[in-house]
Amino acid sequence: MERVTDFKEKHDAKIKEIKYSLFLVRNSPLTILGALIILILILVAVFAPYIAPYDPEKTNILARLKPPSKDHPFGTDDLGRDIFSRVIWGSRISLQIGFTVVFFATAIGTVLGLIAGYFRGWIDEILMRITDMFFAIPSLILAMAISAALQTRSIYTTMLAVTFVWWPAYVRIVRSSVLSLVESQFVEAARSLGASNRRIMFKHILPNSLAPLLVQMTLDLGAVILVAAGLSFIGFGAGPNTPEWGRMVAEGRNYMTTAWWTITFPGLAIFITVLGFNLLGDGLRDILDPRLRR
Amino acid sequence: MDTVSTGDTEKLLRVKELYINFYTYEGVVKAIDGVSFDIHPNETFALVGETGCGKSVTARAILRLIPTPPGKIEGGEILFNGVDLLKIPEKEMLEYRGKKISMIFQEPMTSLNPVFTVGDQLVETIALNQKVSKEEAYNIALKMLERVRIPDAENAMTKYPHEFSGGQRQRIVIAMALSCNPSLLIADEPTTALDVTVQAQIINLMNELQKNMGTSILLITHDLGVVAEMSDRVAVMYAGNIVELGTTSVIFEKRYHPYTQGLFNAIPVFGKGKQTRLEEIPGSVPNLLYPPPGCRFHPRCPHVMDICRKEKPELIELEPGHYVRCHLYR
Repeated sequence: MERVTDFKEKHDAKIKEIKYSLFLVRNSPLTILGALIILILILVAVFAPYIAPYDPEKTNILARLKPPSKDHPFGTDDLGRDIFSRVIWGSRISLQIGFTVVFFATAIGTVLGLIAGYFRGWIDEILMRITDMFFAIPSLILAMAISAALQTRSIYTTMLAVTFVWWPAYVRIVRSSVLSLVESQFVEAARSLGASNRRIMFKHILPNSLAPLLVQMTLDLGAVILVAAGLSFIGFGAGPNTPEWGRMVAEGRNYMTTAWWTITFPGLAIFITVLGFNLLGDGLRDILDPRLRR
Repeated sequence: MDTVSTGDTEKLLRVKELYINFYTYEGVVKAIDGVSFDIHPNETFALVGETGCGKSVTARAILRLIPTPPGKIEGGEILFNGVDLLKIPEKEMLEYRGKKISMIFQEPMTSLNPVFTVGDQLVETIALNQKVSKEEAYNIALKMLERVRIPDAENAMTKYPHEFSGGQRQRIVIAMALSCNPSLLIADEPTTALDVTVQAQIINLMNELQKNMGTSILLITHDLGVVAEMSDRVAVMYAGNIVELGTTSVIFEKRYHPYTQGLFNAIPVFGKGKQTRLEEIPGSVPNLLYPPPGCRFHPRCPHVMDICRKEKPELIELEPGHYVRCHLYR
C-alpha cells in the first residue's frame, strides 16, 4: 500500500498530465470512435486464426461466388474462398504494411530531419533538395515504378516501395520543428552545460518535436494502407492468393455486377481502417495542440 | 569586498585582446574590438554596458557558444587556468562546459526543457558531467535544490518547469549550473527577467553560494544596482571595447571615462528632488558595421578632442588596478 502512494506521489505531475489528456479525449467522441476502430482492428489481426472460420487461402470451386449466408457471412469469391476469413486475415497484412512503412519512414525521416535542421548549411541544402525531388514526383507513381523495377511481387516489396517514397515528408516535419527549437534557450543552456551535439539532438530537441510527428504518423498509417491497397489493386502488390484487401477488390471487380459482395467487404475494410486512423490522428492533433493545453 | 586584488594573484580566467566579427549580409560587424580582462579566483567580475555593446558575445565566446557562421573569433586568447580555450578541439571543450565553467541565462522561463521534469534534467546533467550513478546524481540534485531553497525539494524534482514561477525556475537553473562545482559561473543578466523583489532574492542567493562554494562569477548586466550588490570588480563596455575597468567601490566613487560618467548620471538618485531632469548621453550607440574611427565613443563624448577622431586610445592604468581607455588621461 505504501508503495502505491509512494509511486503516486513520485509521479504526481506525470499522472496529472495523463489524466488531463484523458479528459480531453473524453470530450471528443470522434477520437474515441477512431481509437475504438483501431483497437478492434488490432484485436482482429492478433486473433485472426481464432476468429476466421475458414482457411483464407483454401479454394472451393463448388462454392464459388456464393452470396452472404450463415456459413459465409461475407459470401465467397470466384475461387470459392471465404471472404469473411480473407478480410480478417487481410487486417494482419494491412497493419503490418502500415506499421512497418511508417516506422521506417519515421526513423529515416527523423534522423535526416534532425541533421538538416540542426547543422543547417550545405548538409541541409543537400538533404532538402533531395526531398524536394521526391515531392516533385507523385508518390504513387514513383512507388509503382519502384515496385515494377523490383521484379518480385510480395508484401515486402510493397513495403520497400512505399517506405522509399514516404520518408521525405518526415524530414520536412522534423526539420521545421528542429529549426525553431535550435534557437530556444534551453538548447543553448544544455550546450553551456556540456551536452554534445548528439545528446542535444536526441535528448532535448527530438522529445520536443514528438507531438507533430505522432499526429503525422497516425494519419499516415491510414494513408499508407490506402496506397498499399492501391498498389495491390493495380497488380503491384502482394502475390496471388494473398488475402490483401486491395488485391481482393481487384480480383472481385470482374464480378462486381453479379456478385457485389466480392468487392464491397474488402472495400469497406479499407474504408473503415483508413477512417479509424484519420479520426484518431485528427483527435491527437487537437489533444497535443499546445494552445489547448493550459 | 575584501577579495579585491591588484594584479599579481593567480588568475582563473584571462581574456586577452579578443576580436570577434559577425559576417552578415550587410557587411562585417566588428562586435568585439580588442577586449582584455582577468578574473581572479573567488571574485565576482561584472561586465556592464548598453544593449549591443558586446557583453553577451564576450561571455558566450568564453564557452565557445558563438554561432559560427556568422560569428567568428578573429584573434585573441581566452586562458582558463592557463589553457587557451580557443585552441582546443570542440570535443575537449565539452569537458569545460558545465564542469569547469557553467552559464545561466536571462530568461529562466525558457532555459529548461519543457518536456522533462526538473528532476530528470538535473539528474541527467549531473550524471553526464560527474560520471556518477543515477542514485548518487539524484542525491546531489536534491541537495542542490535544497541549497537554492526550493521548498519541498523532493516533490519539486517530479514537477515540470511550467509548474514553477520565474524566480523558482531561475533558482533551479542556478542549481543546475552549480551542481558540478564549476570554478567559473557566467551569469548573463540573471535577474533582468525577474521582478524587483525576486531579483533581490536571487542576488542574495548568488552572493551566498559564491561565498560558500568559492565559485568565481562573471556577471553580465546593464543594471548598475546589481553591479553594486554583487561584484568586486567591474568593466564598463562600450561598442565592443572595455572603456573603464576597476574595483566596484572605486568606480562607484569616482569615474574617469566620459561614458562611465554619462552612464552614472543617467541613474535616478533617490531623494535628489523631482525637478532635476535625468541626464542622458546624447546620440545613440554606433552601428558596428561602420564603427567610428579612433575612439568609438567620440561622436557622443562631451570632451571630444582632435586626437579622439583619429587614434584609438590605449587602456591606461590610472591608479593601481584601475584602467581607463581615454585620451583625456594621457
